[in-house]
Amino acid sequence: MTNKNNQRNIILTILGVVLFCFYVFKPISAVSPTPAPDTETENATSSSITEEKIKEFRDYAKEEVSKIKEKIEKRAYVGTIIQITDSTLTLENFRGKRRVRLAEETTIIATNKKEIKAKDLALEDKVIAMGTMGSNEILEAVRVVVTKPTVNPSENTISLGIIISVNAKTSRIKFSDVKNQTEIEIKVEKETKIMQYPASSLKFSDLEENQKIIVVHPKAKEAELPLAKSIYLLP
Amino acid sequence: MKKEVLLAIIIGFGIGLVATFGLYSARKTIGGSYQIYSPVPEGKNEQVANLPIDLSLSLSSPLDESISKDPKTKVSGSTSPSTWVVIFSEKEEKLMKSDEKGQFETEVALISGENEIEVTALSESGNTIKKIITVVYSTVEI
Repeated sequence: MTNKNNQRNIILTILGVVLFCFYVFKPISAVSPTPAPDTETENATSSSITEEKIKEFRDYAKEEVSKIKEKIEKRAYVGTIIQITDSTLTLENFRGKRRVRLAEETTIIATNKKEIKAKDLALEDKVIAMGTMGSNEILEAVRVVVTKPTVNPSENTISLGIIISVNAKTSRIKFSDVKNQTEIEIKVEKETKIMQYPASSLKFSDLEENQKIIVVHPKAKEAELPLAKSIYLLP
Repeated sequence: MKKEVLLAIIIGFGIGLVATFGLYSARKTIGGSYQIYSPVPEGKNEQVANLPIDLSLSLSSPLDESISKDPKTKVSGSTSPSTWVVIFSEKEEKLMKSDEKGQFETEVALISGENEIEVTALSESGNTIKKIITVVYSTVEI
């Protein structure tokens, strides 16, 4: 009887100590600036909102990636035909050479908007080839459009300067070019766009000495006065 | 009796310690898996200040030799901070200034077919840098 009592006492003591240890050494959660949800329901709601947001973000990312992919894959080469083989055109533009592969399904449109065959294409034709980028930078053409050759417009020159003089009689201005420290005389015509940055329109009479300007003009031929395309008055 | 009780206390204390440590470890492991790491490293923007001050120009939109289904396209890119940027398209000419980070963005109208867009950055010292991109405006499904 005493033995049984002893055993019971021992078991109760062990249980007591175990429970005491659990209480004393229970992990303490750190204080968080964002209070953690207390109940399981709150946990479930928060989890579903997070999942929804993740799904939303994933869908958005997917859509954007497919848009970018389409933009990268679908390309257009513009250039003059310099070589024609059975099914490949070699075009040339200021970037260099571009190769275009024609398929039976490729639609070819002439300058008169009528559909033509690949054999109707000729060297020196200027074309716009649209399609999908294949291997080795060869464009798999879906549509090729023959365009009228464009006359290259003369290159624009952009200068930053300070007005030295304005001549209303001759419609000319003289300005000092900031870059080269040279004096440039330029002709202003009715077609010349004169603007106060950023947006308001000005007249020739608004131009004065010491104003800071940006002048856009095509490169002039030798011994010719450059004609201003645009003059921007800067703040 | 006293000896047995003492032994029981020591054993119980040991079991309690082991169990508590186990629970603590398990909780720590589970808690760690919920940590979300930011994909953008902090302080990355500070690198902008370390960029060289020489005139530079890079275009992020539109892609060169790309096709647009819209009659207008966004022209954006970056250059040196507070630099003049002149944009010529087939239809218009625009002057703008890049922001303090060198970013610029505008929209230009396109004509049907080939569009050459010329972007020139112009520094206060009059230096220029130019880039040309070609965009084809076509509504035909490719």
